[in-house]
Formats: sequence, C-alpha cells, structure tokens
Amino acid sequence: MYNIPEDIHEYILDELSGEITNENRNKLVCWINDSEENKKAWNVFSSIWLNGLAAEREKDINYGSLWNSVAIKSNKRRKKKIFFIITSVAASIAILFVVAHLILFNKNLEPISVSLSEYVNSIEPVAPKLILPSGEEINLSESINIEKTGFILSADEDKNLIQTSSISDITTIEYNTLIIPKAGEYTLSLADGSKVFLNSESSIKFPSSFNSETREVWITGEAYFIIAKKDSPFIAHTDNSSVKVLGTEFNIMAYEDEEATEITLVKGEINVDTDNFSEKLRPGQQFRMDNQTLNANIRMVDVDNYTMWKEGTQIFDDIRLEQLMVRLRRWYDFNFKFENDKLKDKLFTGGFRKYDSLEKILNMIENVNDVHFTVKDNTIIID
Amino acid sequence: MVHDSDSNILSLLRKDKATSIRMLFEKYYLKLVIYAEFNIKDRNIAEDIVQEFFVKLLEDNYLKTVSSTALRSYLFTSVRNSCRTYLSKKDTLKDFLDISEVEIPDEVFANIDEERINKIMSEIELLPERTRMAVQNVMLKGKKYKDVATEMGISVNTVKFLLKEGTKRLRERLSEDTLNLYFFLSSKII
Repeated sequence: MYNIPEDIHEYILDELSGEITNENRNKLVCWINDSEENKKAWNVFSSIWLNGLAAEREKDINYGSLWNSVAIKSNKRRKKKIFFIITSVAASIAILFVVAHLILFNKNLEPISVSLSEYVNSIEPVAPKLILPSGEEINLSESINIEKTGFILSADEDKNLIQTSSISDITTIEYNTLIIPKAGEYTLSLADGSKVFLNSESSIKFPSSFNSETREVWITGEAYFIIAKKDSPFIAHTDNSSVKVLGTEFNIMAYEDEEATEITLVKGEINVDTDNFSEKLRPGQQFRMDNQTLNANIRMVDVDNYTMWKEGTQIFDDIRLEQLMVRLRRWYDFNFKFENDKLKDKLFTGGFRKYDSLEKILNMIENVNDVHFTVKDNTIIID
Repeated sequence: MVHDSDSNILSLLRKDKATSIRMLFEKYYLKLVIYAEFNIKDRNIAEDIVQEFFVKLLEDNYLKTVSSTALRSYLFTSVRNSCRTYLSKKDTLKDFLDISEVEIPDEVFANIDEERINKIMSEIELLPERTRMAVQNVMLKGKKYKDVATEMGISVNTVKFLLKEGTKRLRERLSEDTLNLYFFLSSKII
C-alpha cells in the first residue's frame, strides 16, 4: 500500500466528510499535486469512500418515482429553454495561481535529526523475567518449559506463558512473579482458565496452583483480565485497591507514575475495594482514584479508550506532554528530559499504534506542535 | 443493476428519446448526485441540480450533438457547471483566490459500481465494532463528526481516530485487490 502521511490522511478524511478548513485543503491540494503516486493514492482513497457512500445512498433511491417527477417537470416547462453551460475560466486560472503559490512557498517540515534515529535504533530490548517461588529468576527470551512441584509453566516465542497444574491437592500456596520490562508485553494463561494481558512495565504475582478457596493475584502497571467463571472469587490486588470478581473482563491500570489508578469494567460485574471505598461496577463504568489524594469516583467511559492497548493501539484524550512521554517511554524504553518546563503541560489528543516506530511518533508530535526532539548523552531532549 | 453501454443508449435517442434518457438517468443519476455533492457539500441541492439537469436533457436536444465517447464527460461537466453556477450565486463575495479545489477525476465517480460497492461493504463488515460504527456513520451515512461523537458517546477526536484506523484498514485490504480496477482510471475513456 502506498504510504499516506498521517496529517494528509486526516485532511483527506476531513475533505471527504466535508469538514476541512481552507488552510488544510490547500495543504491537501499541494500534496495531491506533488506526485503521480500521491494523485493515485488520493484517487483510490476517494474511490473507496465514494463507493461506500453510494452503497448507502442507493438504498434510498426509487428510480421510478424520481423519474416521474423529472418527466412531469419537463412537460410543464417544455417551452422554456434556459439551460446554459459556463466554463469558469477565471476560476480555473485563479486555482492555478493558488496552487503555484502554494508549491513555491511550501515549507518543508524539518526531518528529525539523525542522532535521534540512531539513538532510537540503538535501544536494546530487555527480556521479561519470571521469578519462581524458590527465588530462581528465569529470562523469558525464548521458549522454555519449567516443571516444578505442582505446576508446569511453558513460555513460547509468541510471548505467551501458559500455566498448567499437575497436582490438585496442594496445601500451601506459593507464588510466581512475571515481570514485563519497558517495551515488552506478555499474555499469561492461568491454570484456572483465566487469561491476563500484560502491558509494558507491569508485573503480576500469581499462585503456582489454584485451590478451591480463592484465586488471588497482585498487579503493578497495567493488565487486562478475562476471568474464567468459577465458584471461588478471583481477586486482583494493586497497591491501593483490589478487585473481586467471579467471571468477567476488566482492565486495571495502576502505574505509580500515572496520575490515577483506573479500573475499567468491560463485561460482567466486579467489586472494587480500597481502604475507604467499596463499590460495585457495571459494564462501561470506570473506577478512578487519584494516586496523590486517593480521591475516588466512578464514571462512565468509552471502554475502548482504556483497553485498546492490548490490540497495540493507545488512544489519548487531552493528555499532558509529560504524561505522554512517560507512556511512550513505557512502550519504547528510552530516556527523556524537558529543557523547557512549559512544554510539559502542552495537551495532546490522538492515538498511536504500538508497532509504529518511536521516530515516527515523535515526528508526528513535532509536526503538530512547536516541540523539538534532539539527543544528548543517550537522552531525548525536549525543547 | 446492469446498464447498457453509452453508445447503445445514444443510438436509441432518435427513436425513443424518453426511454433513452431514462436509461441514462438510471445509469448516471446516483453518480452525478455524489459528484455534485462532492462539489457543493449539500445533498439536497445536489439532488435538485442533477434532477434539474435531466429535466433539461428531456426538454432540449443537446444530447443529439454528443458522441458516445464524449457522453460521460458531457454529463459530468454539465453537472459541475451547474454546481459552479449555484455556488457563485450563493456567495457572490466568495474570493476565488482564497480557496483551492480538491479534484477527483470524473472516472472515479463514473466507476462507482456494484462490484466495488460489494467488495468495500464486505471489508467494512470485518472491521472491529467501534471502528466499523465510525466508518458507517461518517463515510456511508455522511454524518458529521460531532453528531457521530454524541451518538457513540465518545469525543470527536476518538471518532476521527477510529475513522482513520478504519480507512487505513480498508486501503490495506482494498488497494491491492482492486487496484487493477483503478489503474486504468487515467487511461480508459469509454
């Protein structure tokens, strides 16, 4: 597929949906006229759009009755001949002027510095780590099979860790811990049939086997849970809250460096408990607790915004640049520093795909805002 | 719907004007409405303009002088000129130096057909639910971002983001499959 830059993609949508500004339309016209490939990409895009529009419109059309009204009108006015064609030469010439003007004064966006690109490419991924009850640490960089008393854990190359119980009558419960570094991700299938998607820079402490009494795990960072329905409740703890469920889907975000802890319910019912709070959540509701003041409330949210990370997409709605950089660091594992503190409060809205390169994302931020990224001493400097 | 070729329709013109223009109407009405709408951004007026154009075709005998190879471009040019006339009447103060026009070749409109529609619709069905809703509301139904945002209970920016994701996916899935259909866009004129 021919690549269309992010900003142009947006202008195309605005243009086709009739919501573009004159300024952006000029930019779009320039881009379209810039090369044959661009023109072709625009034609294909508009073809998809217009055929889609036609599909919906076609449903409303009744050719028979439309034609009748056309024929009646024509009969009434048969004698009048008013049709004329004008060719707007003046307008065409004016457009040529505009286009020429835009091409001559088209500002090229500065390419991101070479050093940044080098730095981004030099970042080495860190392997996720599994800590067994014995304290033994195992790097999960390749597929591995661990057999211990009572359980088997097998990690595959697709970042899945699967737990199976080998004995059922365990009396003492021991715990494993799975630690996902920055830029990592993992899914954990528990022996009780539950599944946990772990985001970057997160960890989960989980029992080596499940007895019939309780199922308890401890989370840092962010995780999406699909809990298998069992008679025994499943409890997910964070530093300052816990979630009690029977069978359901929900997301916990409990990073220390975020402003709030957020627990979002997708399906089923959960109970959220903190030191001074205990409340049931219904699907679409989110429990949100300020990490500083510990003030908590429940609100309705668009759950996709809080769960799409597990499909590799993160959506931001009016997020501060500083917070955005913290989240990007979680995904891409780099160092950063603000030279100009005022920039920390700049607000951003939008979304990124996790598999976009960091360079591309930083480039996008530079393009929409007066922010610049450079590299000094293995740190991205923001000014 | 399968339509007759332009030359067949035109050859019927002398014998039975009403029938031949009605065939043209069924073949081109929707395409011309979408074309007019793209030019003036108003569905109702676009429909009026195209209906009015067919009224005039029935009244007059312009079509007799048009060759079958030029027919399509005659139809689109006529509708475009009606749109320009409408726009210049509507806003006599409009400064043409301040705006530029985004052009879509007539062929793109003329090539709206069942086969492409079906392909696109089946790809839209495969989109994730929220993305599909955004695409259906904005692209298919022509709703405004703001209205879709209110309807879906999300922000305008999320609507735009979902739409972007959706169209990106459609491009990925459709460009390759159907690009052959589009490649002759610039060369084929029949």
